[in-house]
Amino acid sequence: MTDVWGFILQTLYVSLVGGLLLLVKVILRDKLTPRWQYGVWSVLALRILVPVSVSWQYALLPLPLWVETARILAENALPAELFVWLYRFYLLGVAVFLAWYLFSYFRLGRYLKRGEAPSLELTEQIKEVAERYGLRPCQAVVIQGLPSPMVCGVFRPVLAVPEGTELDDHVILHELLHVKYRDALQNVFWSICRAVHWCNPLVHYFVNQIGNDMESLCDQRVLERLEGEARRNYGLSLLAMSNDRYPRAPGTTSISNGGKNIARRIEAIVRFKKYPKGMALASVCVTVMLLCAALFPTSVQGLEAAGEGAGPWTQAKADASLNLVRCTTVAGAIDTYAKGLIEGNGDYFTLASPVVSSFTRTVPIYDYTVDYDAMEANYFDTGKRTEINLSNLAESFVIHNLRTQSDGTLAAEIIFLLGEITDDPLLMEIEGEEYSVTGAVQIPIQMEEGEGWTVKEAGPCILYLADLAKINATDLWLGEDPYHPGVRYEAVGKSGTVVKESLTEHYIQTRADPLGLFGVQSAYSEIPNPNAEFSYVREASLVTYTFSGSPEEADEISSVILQVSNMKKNQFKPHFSDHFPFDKGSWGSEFGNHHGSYTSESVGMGWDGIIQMRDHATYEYKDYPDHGGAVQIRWDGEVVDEMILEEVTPNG
Amino acid sequence: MDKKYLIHAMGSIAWGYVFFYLAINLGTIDILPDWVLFVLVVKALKPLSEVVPSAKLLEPLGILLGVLYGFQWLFKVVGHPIQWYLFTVIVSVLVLYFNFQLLTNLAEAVRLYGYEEERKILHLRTVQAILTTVAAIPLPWEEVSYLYFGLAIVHLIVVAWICVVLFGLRKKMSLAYEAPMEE
Repeated sequence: MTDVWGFILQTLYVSLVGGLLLLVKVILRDKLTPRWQYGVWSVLALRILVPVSVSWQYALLPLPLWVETARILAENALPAELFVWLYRFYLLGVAVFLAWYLFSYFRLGRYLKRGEAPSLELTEQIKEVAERYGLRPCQAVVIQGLPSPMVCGVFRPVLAVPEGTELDDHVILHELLHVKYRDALQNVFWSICRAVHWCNPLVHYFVNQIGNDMESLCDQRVLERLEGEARRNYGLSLLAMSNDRYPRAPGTTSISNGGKNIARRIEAIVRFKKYPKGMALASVCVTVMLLCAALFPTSVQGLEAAGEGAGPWTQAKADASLNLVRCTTVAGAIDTYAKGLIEGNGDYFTLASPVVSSFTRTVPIYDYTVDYDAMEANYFDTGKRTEINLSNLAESFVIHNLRTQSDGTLAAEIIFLLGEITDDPLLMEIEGEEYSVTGAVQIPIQMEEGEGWTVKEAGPCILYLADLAKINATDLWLGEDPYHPGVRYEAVGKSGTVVKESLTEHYIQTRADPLGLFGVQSAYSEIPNPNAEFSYVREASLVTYTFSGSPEEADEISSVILQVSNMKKNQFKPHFSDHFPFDKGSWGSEFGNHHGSYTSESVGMGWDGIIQMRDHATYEYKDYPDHGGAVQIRWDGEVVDEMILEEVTPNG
Repeated sequence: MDKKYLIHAMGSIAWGYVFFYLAINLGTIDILPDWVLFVLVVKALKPLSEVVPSAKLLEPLGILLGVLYGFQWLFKVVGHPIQWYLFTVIVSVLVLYFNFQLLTNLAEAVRLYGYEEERKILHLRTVQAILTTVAAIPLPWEEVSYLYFGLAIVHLIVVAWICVVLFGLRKKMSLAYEAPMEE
């Protein structure tokens, strides 16, 4: 709490938690014991003691966002100095409250010193009650004009008794129990809390309720030590004290706390027998759940949108969210960076990529064609360059070849798919006027985790031109062959070598709009999600086995089965299938995942020693096999080789 | 109080648990809605409180939870499930207490009728309360998903066991109730 906004956030959280506790306490009022009713306030105590920071994470309600929004609006409308003075005024208030408490405490001490020593009978009575109930007796003093008995003092408590009053044994028991459980010390703590939050009327209300609950708990303790008729008499003693005057000061406790509260306490005494047994565990469990909810941030702030014509509150909220939000996931960082570029929103872009780049780039132009009949892709540097503005052209993006590098950072290529290009004469000239022009821009990126995930551009940005008539832009990169593979794996075995080239596409979970009875529909949103997760991964791979023996040896083999088994990095043993019912196929585990694939080919005389297998599969992100896999080679049905694929170098 | 009402109440509560802990979704409609537990329990509280008076304390809470879960179910049906964390916290806390006291009262009723299942119900009640509380602790469950999965399985087993005990008790009490009548 180093400024007025920090205090406002803290006191709002205290109010929220206190309100939550009051609501639960009201609902469970006659169900859980007074012990729980008072003890649950420890949740509030912890909330007061544990400072809240302005952060993208929050508990219960997005108070950091609301406070930050208010701050932006207020600081735009009013001079900044005003808030400095407000904070000083708040601190002064705390000092005044604490000083007043200290003054009251010492004044009470002086007042007690002027009191008279108790009579011998009273002293004996106190001793006798203490002995009967196994408590420690305390000093007593008789005060003229005191409205009701009270205990004063934290370190050396004294029982102050009104002059001319005959004290009931139960009243003495009540006060001695206050001494035993150090209620005066707890009272000091709550008074300090009241002082720290002096300008929050809710906190004053909470502390008053805490005082009442403390008295009710003391009643509970008294009743637990009494039997039968004595309990009824205790209620009558309380009734006799139901005047409205009662002393209240820090470091003191008083048996009387006002007529209305005494009526409530008497009702509780009547209900005493009816609490269900075994509620201690339930009390603890309820308190733990409330504590976890009150103290631990369980939600993260997302980005708020402000469209054109948004009002001041909405705009301020959007700005506030930008101040608070961090990209908490890799997918979130990439989503925020990419949409920042596509939407031309500098704030989004900067959120994910603090190293400033521009939307407009001068890029080399690569011509790119795919011939599906020949299963070939060709691309080459045209030697030309052009300037493009991604925010004008890019329509969507895909993420290729996400991988962990040796230094622990993550790398990928982000491919921005462009719409039709109609106003760039250079691009249209390269592609030919009779064709519609589109393309994709590839930017290599690197992701690092600091306070949140950030994205850095890690290589040159390249524009790949494509002919719309021949290529569907969204299928540009993932077809039968991984035309732009990201990772290469190799294995060397006794029978030959295996090379696997793999291209992956990671998909980010988009927002879902439910359609009621018929399921959910995904929808692209222009607003990035800094907390996004990957939903699934598509992979295309090309596996090539090259036999290392002589041509004569190759001629003797009549059939070869090349089988690839998927593996995860933490998996030690691959799993191969023994059934190959078709020429090509794949199999799944018992959970239906794509577990591996195979190709079975008849070779024989003139075999060139090469077997190739193309595969593509889609995995749920959590099931994606992040290891290169393992390969099994069979000649004429017999296993001759098993190899583990190791990553070589990523392809550019 | 005619014992047959208590027997019927026992069965209602057991069926209520089936509705609460099982979910069969057709699109966005859960055809075993959670709020049914509270409707059945509130009906069962009258005969139960004749045996265990403190069970009456549950009635207002049962009605409140029935209404809250009813709203939750309705919002989910129209495709806008309530995703307000504060609401979830309050409801979870109240449900934990509700289940705890309900099973405590049931155990007491069972004891008063001289059946030995009292201890079993109390132990199951305790385990269920602890599991519910542990699951609410904000640990990084996604990093120990196997632990969370294990807890969920154990919780399901406990709930299933509770239902088995209650249905078994209902049968036992029915047989004991019908036998003297036949005599």
